[in-house]
Formats: sequence, structure tokens, C-alpha cells
Amino acid sequence: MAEIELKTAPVDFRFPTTNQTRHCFTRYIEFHRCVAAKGEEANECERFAKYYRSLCPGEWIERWAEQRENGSFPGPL
Amino acid sequence: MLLVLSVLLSLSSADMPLFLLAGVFLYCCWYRLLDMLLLLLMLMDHFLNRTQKRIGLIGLASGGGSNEHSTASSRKRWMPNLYISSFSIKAGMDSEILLRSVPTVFSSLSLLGMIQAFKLADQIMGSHPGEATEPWQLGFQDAATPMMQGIMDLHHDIFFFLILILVFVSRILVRALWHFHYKKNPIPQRIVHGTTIEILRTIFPSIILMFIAIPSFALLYSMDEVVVDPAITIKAIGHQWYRTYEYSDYNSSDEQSLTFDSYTIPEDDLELGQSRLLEVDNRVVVPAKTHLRIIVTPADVPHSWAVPSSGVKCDAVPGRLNQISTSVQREGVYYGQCSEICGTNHAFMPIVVEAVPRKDYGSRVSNQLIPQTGEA
Repeated sequence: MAEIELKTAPVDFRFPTTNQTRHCFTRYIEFHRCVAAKGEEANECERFAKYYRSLCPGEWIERWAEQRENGSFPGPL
Repeated sequence: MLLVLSVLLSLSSADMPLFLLAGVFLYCCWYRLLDMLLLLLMLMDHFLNRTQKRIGLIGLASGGGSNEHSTASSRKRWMPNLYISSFSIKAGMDSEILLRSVPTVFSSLSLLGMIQAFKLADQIMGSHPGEATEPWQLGFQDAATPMMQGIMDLHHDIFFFLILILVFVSRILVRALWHFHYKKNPIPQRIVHGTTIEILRTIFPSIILMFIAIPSFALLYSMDEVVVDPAITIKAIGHQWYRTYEYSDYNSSDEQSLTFDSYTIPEDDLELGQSRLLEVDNRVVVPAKTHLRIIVTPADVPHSWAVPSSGVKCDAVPGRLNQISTSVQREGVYYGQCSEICGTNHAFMPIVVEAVPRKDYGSRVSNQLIPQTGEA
């Protein structure tokens, strides 16, 4: 792998505080809504995926994936 | 004059606050130096020869002025009225000399002690080439981020006022205790009201508080502010009792992630030069001079992610993601410890941040990513 690009989720004016929990959660929901609207192959959703992967702990993402499968995900998808 | 001297000295020195503090202290107590000198002369004179022949020295030292004291008769005239500073030490009265010299001696000793303490503190706080703490270190570790520099500057600024108030209040207290002793002054003055002093003692503390509050708030809000987009997000996840770090900026699916655990190195495995209870097996590698976002959270109980030389101390609260934005200004290894009591091994989950040049960071991360992606 060559030189990697240093890029991550940008500052979001909706979440200006130290507490970034909702930032992560919102990005996760945004990604899945985007996928639902535009289909799995749509490339424009990929950036939301990058954002939530940068922000959310891996453990949370795993748990949410499980909850989505069981239909018990606690958010508007 | 001393104050001017100390200001001049402080301008030319890196340890400006210390010189300034010493200067203020000397300025507040310079008359004690005079007291000490006079008292020494007087006591020497007293013990060496019990006659009062050479007491004229004191007249010279206290600025008694004219040539009158050369004659014995004139000496008798000024001697009973010889005042040294605030304490009237009447020359010639044996017991009284000793009795009244006590506060002067004490304050002189404390002054000397303070000067020595300043010197010592200056030595100790002077410079620490390493990033970790030293035995008996009193001062801060060297700042690695602008935030820490701000914190240190604020501390020194506040310390200026602190010493000023300390000296002023102690002086009032000691003088009150001394002069209003119940034997010496059985009926004190019965002043219960004074408009001028009441206005003064309201306004001056307010001004001092303002001088402390304004830089303090400026620093506080500049810490919260995230203006620049960070280049990297690192997740610092606390566990009982180790840390996990996730670098997920380069993932293309949910599973792949540059994730590693960071355990402390047991005492028996330490190599020469490594710090006990501070070294870990996997350090957090960050690029220097780059805006970082660190997401702090635990997986079980509350922990904390703290690195003193970068001015960061962020509690990790379960179910919540706390964000720190920081930028390490120079390459180096920075140590920190868990700062939220999290169980038995709270003391054994240190933090080690290694700041590397930006170009080295890229190769480090891609080197770690290749085996990871190869396995996956």
C-alpha cells in the first residue's frame, strides 16, 4: 500500500460539543437510510459509511448490525 | 528598585514567572532585610561587649544621619528613640532586644527559606528533556501541544496573584497578632466602619479576579472549540484493565479495522530505560503537527484517557463518546495514566502516545494494515 491519505469524518456543526455519541449514531442512520433509498450499489453512500466507521467503536457497529437483523434496532432506518 | 530589577531579569530569562514572584516577594519584604541587618549588628554588639560604645553603628545603618552620634552625650539623646522599621527596638534594654527580635528573626528566616525554595523550584522546574516525569519533580512536564502551553502559562499567571495575596494576608495576620496581643495592647482601637477601606477591599479583589478569570475563560473555550477538520480519528477504548485503540479511517468494510490492545509491560519484563508502570506493549502512534480527533469511550466501567504533556484528560463514560481534538507539536513519546478509578488494576493501564513525523505515520499504518487485510 502506498502513502495513505489522512482523511476522516469532518467537523459537523450539528454536533459541536465534546459528546459525539449522537454524531456517530446519526452517521450510522444516515448511511442506512441512504442505502435504503439508493440501493446497495450506490457509491454516494460510501462516505457516510466512512464517517460512521471513523466515529463509532467497532463493538457498537457489531451490536447494531445484530439488532438490525433482529429488527430491534432503536432508531429510524 | 528590587521590583524593577526583577522585571528586567525576568524579561531576559525563560523562567519569567519565577523571577517575577521572587521580585514581588522581595519587594514586599525588603524592609525585613533591613531589619535583619540592623538586628544582627545590634546583637553582635550586645554579645561582644556589653558596653554601648559601638551602638553608633546602628545609627549609621538606620540612616540616623548626622555626625552627632560621635559624641557620647548626643548618643544618649537619640538612642531611646531609635526605631527600626515597625518594631521599636530600644537599644540598650537587654531582654527587650531579644524579645522583640523574635518576629524579625522569624520573618527573616522565612524570607531566606522562601528565596531558597524559589531557587530550588527554579532548578527543578527548569527543564525536563524527557517526556516522562522525574523523581521529585515539582513542575509540569514539557508541553507538547498548544493547549498544555496555555495551561502552564495560565498557572504561572495565577501563581503571581497567589503569591501576592499570600504575602499580603500573612503580613496582615502576623502584624495583627503581634500588635494586638492582649497583654501588650489590652484596649484595641474600636473602629467598626471605614468607607474608604471597604471600597478598596471590594474593588481590588474584583480586579484581581477579573485578571484571573479572563485568560482562564479564554483558555477554557479555546479547548472546546473545534475549528479545523481533523485529519485522523483514533478511538481510545478503555477496558478492565487494558486499552484498545481503533484506527478505522482506512476501512472499506465494517470488519477490517486497525485495532490493537495496549497492555502495560509487567515489572519483570521491563528493559533497561523503560519506566515501571508506564510502558506499554503497543503504543498509540500519531502523526506530529496534525489535527487529531480522539474518541474516548470505555467498554465496561468508567475510565479516563489522560496525557499530561499534551494537556488532555478526558473521562471515558460508558455509552458515550467523548471527543478530544488535539495536535501534538513535536515528535516524541508521551506517557499518561488512567485517571478515573476503574477497579483493581486501575494503576496498571497506562497510556503511551508516540508522535512520529507525518510521512513515517503513513508507512507505519500501511505496514500494519497489510497483514490485517491479508488475513481478512
